[in-house]
Amino acid sequence: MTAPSPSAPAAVAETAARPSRPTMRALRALVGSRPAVAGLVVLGLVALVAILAPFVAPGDPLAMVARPFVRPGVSGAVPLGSDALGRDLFAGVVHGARASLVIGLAATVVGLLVGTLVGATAGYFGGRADLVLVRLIELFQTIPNFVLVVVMVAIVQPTIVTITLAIGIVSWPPVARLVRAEFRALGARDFVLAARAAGCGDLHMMLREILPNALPPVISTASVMVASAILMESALSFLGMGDPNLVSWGAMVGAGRDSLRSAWHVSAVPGLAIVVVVLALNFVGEGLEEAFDPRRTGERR
Amino acid sequence: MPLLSVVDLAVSYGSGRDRLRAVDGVSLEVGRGETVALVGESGCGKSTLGRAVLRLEPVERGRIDFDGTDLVGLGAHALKRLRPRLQIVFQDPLGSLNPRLTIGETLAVPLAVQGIGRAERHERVGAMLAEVGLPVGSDRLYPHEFSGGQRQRVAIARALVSKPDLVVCDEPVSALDLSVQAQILNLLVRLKREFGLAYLFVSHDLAVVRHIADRVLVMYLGRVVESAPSEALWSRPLHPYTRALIEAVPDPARRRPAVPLAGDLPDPRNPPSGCRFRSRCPIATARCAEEDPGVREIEPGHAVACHLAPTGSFETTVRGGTP
Repeated sequence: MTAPSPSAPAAVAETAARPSRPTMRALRALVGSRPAVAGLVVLGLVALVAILAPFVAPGDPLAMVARPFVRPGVSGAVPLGSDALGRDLFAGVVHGARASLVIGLAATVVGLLVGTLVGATAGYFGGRADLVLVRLIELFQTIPNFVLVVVMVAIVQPTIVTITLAIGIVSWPPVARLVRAEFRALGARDFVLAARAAGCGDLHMMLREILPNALPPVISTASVMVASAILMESALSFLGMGDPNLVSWGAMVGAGRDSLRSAWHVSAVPGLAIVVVVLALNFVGEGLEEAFDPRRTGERR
Repeated sequence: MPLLSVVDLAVSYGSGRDRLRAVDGVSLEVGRGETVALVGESGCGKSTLGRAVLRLEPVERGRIDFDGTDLVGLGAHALKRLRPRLQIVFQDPLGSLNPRLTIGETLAVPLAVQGIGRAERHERVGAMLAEVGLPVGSDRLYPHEFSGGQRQRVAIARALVSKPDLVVCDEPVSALDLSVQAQILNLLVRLKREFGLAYLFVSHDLAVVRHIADRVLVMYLGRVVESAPSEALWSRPLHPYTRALIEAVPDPARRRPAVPLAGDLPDPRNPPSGCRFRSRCPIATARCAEEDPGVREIEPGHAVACHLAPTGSFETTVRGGTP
């Protein structure tokens, strides 16, 4: 009989002090990706500006403060120029960041919650529940997203809450598909069987055994979802269907549309803001996807 | 009364023409403190049978009597109460441990399910980890921080922490290096003696089984073709399939190389008529294609499903048939 004395794992001594959570390792990988870090820095700055908007650009961003159509870099009072009504474009971009970020994030949270709930239920229980829910997902996916948003917002009052909900409602199906696939794959794994053999209930299995392992691809999708939610809100405001009391990048682009030939900067300035933020979110999404790649971390087989 | 008594168990997947009966009418018994091995090729249904005993597979028919209770008809609540007494160790130790839980958290799960408090959980987890030979502090580490052999020690600790009576070992050493295999097997033997465990030991490796089993059941295409006490099986295998398996075990003392079994496992959706082994059997006769040989007890404790066993002709046919 061999004495049960396997050589202690070389890692024990060090790692006991420095627990290497799988999540921490993924974050370290993320920090190693240059575009992702650049994206994070940009997003951090935008978020900071949005939070500090009243201090960065004091006063009402909808107030007329200068002559109309001042070009960028001409006047120190309106560094990014002014629009047809003489409103400060810089103030507009700063305050517009609030609307874009809040709606983008909140709509994504709604989409993630609904999508995860539907996908987890379908993937875990399978059978008839799966059949019904997959049909529901497909139903939503056949309707063009933006048209559905326009219809929903047209029916109710366009406020920040209704716009958020409308965008959230169209953005859950891809999440549901993703989560369902993860739950199906993970549900057949031995560690899930082991938990069942231990007598764990469905809730424990879903929340503690499967969900944490299903989240990585969902998280990397989330940042791209924020980007597309921001784009959708911009498009909505561009069409004049946004919240009229809200400064929004999309609405600013839309307002500059009439004078596009004479004063293109009125549309270009907020348009550039949208491009930068969406690009940053996509960089972060790509970085996350790579960081969570099982072939990199080697934790899932 | 045996601890576990499986009667005419069938497990199937799908339905209609695609129905695959992975286990087709298997009966077996495991006594307290006994090790019963299930051997056979990949795809013969031995792992499915092992999991079905724990009600981890859909049971089509049959009984699974565990300590006097039929698990097949049991409701979710009653089953949950029995779960701690029936545990399992899987083949791939990395796949059987949740990568996002520390070892301590994983081991605490079976105890938490039973409603055991935090302090006692911590104490029992620590004691169990020490019992399987893992260093102090292992409970705070994640599965990827261990070697394969250590992960299997963790998986064994997880199975034993709820103080089971029966542990299904599903190829527990097949994924490990040869040197580590011996360590894990010795650990299993020691723990069995210490805790009075019974094992249902699923393996394709006869050399491993010989080391650990009291009795051996040989499975082919979802059925048991021979069952015997370990020694009897080795000294006097009656079924031609068992003989082929034993011959295939590498043995440096043997002069001539083993004659491999011809062909592959037939499609289990569409098994051969009569005796299921006849399509690969070196001594099959016309009768084998027509008549299904039931399991017959040749001597006490030694049963076989073969028309030709154990007559004298069987003996000579096999000897003469292989050059």
